[in-house]
Amino acid sequence: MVRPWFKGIACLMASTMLLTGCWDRVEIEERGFVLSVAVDEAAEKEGSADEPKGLQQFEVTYQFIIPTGLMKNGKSGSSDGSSAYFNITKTGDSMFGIARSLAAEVSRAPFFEHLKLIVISESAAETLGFANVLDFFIRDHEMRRSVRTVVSKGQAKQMLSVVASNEVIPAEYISSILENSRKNAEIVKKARIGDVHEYLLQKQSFVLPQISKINDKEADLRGSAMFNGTDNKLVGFLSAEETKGLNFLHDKIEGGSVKIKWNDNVSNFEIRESKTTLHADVKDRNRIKFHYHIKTEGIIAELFDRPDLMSAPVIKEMEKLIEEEIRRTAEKTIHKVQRQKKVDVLLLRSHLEKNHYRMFQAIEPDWETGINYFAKSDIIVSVHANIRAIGAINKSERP
Amino acid sequence: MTTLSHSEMNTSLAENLTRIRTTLGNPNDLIIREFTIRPGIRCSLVCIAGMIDKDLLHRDVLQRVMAFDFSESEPQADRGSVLQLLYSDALSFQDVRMVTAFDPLIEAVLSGKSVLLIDGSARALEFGSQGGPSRGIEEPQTESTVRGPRDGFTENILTNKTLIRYRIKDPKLRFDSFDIGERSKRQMCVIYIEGLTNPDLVVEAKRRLQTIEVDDPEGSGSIEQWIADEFLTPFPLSLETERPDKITRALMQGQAALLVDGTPFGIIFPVTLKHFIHSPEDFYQNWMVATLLRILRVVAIFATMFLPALYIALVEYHQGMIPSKLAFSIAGSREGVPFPAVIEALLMEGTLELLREAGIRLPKPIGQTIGIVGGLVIGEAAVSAGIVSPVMVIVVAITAVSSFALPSYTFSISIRIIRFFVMLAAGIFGLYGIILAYIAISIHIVNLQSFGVPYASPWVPLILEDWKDLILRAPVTFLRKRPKLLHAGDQVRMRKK
Repeated sequence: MVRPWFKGIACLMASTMLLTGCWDRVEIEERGFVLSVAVDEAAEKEGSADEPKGLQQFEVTYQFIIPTGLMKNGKSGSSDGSSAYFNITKTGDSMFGIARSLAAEVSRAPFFEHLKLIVISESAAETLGFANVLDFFIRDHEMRRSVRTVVSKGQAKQMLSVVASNEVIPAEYISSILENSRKNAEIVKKARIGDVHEYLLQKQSFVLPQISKINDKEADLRGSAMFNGTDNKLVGFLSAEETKGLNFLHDKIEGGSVKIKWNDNVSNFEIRESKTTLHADVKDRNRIKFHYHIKTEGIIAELFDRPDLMSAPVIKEMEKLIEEEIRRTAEKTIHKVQRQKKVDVLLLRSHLEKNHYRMFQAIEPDWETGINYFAKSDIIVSVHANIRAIGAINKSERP
Repeated sequence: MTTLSHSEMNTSLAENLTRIRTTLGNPNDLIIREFTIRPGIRCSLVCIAGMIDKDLLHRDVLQRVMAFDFSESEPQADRGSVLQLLYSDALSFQDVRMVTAFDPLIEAVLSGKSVLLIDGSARALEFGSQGGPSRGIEEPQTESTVRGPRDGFTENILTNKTLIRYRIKDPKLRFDSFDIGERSKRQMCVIYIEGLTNPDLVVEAKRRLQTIEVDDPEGSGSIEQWIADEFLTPFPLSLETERPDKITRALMQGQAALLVDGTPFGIIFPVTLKHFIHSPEDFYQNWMVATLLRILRVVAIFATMFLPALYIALVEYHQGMIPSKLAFSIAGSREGVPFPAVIEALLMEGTLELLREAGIRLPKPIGQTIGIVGGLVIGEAAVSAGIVSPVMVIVVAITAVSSFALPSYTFSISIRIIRFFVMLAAGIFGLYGIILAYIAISIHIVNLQSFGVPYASPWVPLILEDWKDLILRAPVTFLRKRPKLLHAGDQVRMRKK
């Protein structure tokens, strides 16, 4: 005999199972995977007059994956008809609006959970308000906080069609280059959108990787774009060399090379390990002293001369040159950001906030503006280099 | 109750024989060999053809009795003591017993023994001359090991008992035998070691066995269900095995076992989850190897239960949780597949179960063919026809392989059934459904008991000491004590010398 309450529960359970289930179900092949988004500034567009209208006009390019194209040949070549990706460009005054209106045009609605890269053009970053551009990408639940952000010199849209011959999808190509920061010190270590959000909230000036197009098959990611912490606008770019200096100061060096002058020619030193420590002396707040100490270790990678590397004085000499070179690079960067641009992309603000909180509270409003304690501070760099190995050989030929 | 009635035997031989004939319905395989021994005493040997060892009976009984001259040894004795004389002076047969009642006599004849009746005596001699068809000791079919012993149980309970006695020479090893089944009267025995096995366990087991009231408990599998604590569960609550070494080990751990005549499967009880991850091989190997293999089996359990469900949940609901490149590749491979992933998965897993079931029934020579046709051809054809995606085939294959990696066939079937339940949950609710299913399964498992021992122990309730032989199989010298949860009478396995 089945009890009535049991029947009731069974009915409820059956209805929860049969009536409600599956509402979120979207098969994987019905998703339109967006791998990358490029944001440009668009010309003013006419809309209906009574519709709410934003101050900005975005031109957004979405890069969709074509999974079958990705599987079939693994080649890009939009020429042979079976491309692995396609780009769609839309304009509008809000990111979300564009994304939703896109659903009316592509059969597979955009799905952002695999978004890897956001490319923002120089002009968009300058004029549209950087935080406005990113708001949708930080706020929306489909987004991951590990999305990478880069700033493009020139149109951002163009970057999404650059792909090297050995890669298939432009976004993958660019993301992979960002990973190479461990081989090349001139690339900014990849910035997660989550980190960027932190900078925005902390009023901290920061840098993002910079991308420029060389040709259809090559992009250059050396250098970086500086953002001002007070209004989060793009204020300028750092060259490749200055970016390297910044990486040294940020203690973000994972590898790379240092080229030194050696007997009329050059020699290359490969960085294997680098550790930067920063000390601040805040006794005089009008002249805060920052002391960077860079300790680096590495091997000799290339040498166009035949000194006897087994002798200690030669090595000492070389180490001294390396130290000088690194210091020169770092100081060049400091000069650019502190003296010329006056933006604290060195992250000294957060150093003070963490280590000298009370003092910093007092000077916080005038850190980068007004009295500008940042520009007034003294930044000293000292370097200690250590050649750990001379490579597998001593001399490549007998002199 | 039974067709036989309790009664004394008659002194008249002819009457006794008639009675035996009528009771058994005078079958033509009933052998009644009538002969006379000096001085003119009529005797009869009763047995059933095919169930006896002819040579043994001939050499040690018939020849001896016929050649015995009764008048020589004691002419004055009465008929009643003839049997006693035969017993003490003539017979060289070892297993001889005196029968006085009619029922045991019939039972003895039916179980393959032979009975010697003498005219004028209301008693008979019973010889344990069982022969008949029996299989040799072979390697266990369902539980092979690489380094373990090669002998497995047979259908004959005597052989099976021997295989255990052969391993344990403890005088306290007990085989408490009784007959079970109203009509079949199968011999069955509870095996335990007195002073080691928890006595309450033995008492409870016997009590449960006595409640069995079927005509014939069809083998140990049926008895296992009769004595189980709970019938609303897919999980086996005792462990069946055809390996004597497994039973030996169980006895030494404080468990008890059961053997039934007519089946090569013994039953070990009580069991907990851990016994289904353990293989006898674990103890024949280095402890690190054994531990890694156990981890592998645990992974296999989870793969069998959750892998297809995870596939469904990730592909239908949580595409963002798949690594990008894999997601694109799955999306590409599913392009054009007409079914949602849950239907696809149910279809393929169903086919797999079908193949497995067919594989058991099929005659051996065809078995391999069906393996190839089923596995390769159907899988390949389904993929190239675009009905299922290649990733699904991989998932199904991994599930199948992992389900066969478990040492216990019964347990792996239970897991496979649960898998369908989890798949449905995943199809309806995604990962949330899988988690709900997992919670439901966990609740069920911690509620189970096997002979009063919590099924999930030593995880729940937590007995850390028993973890030495759980997933980790500690080096043998560390395993000085028996598992605590069984409350063995003697906790110490190894005493320091």
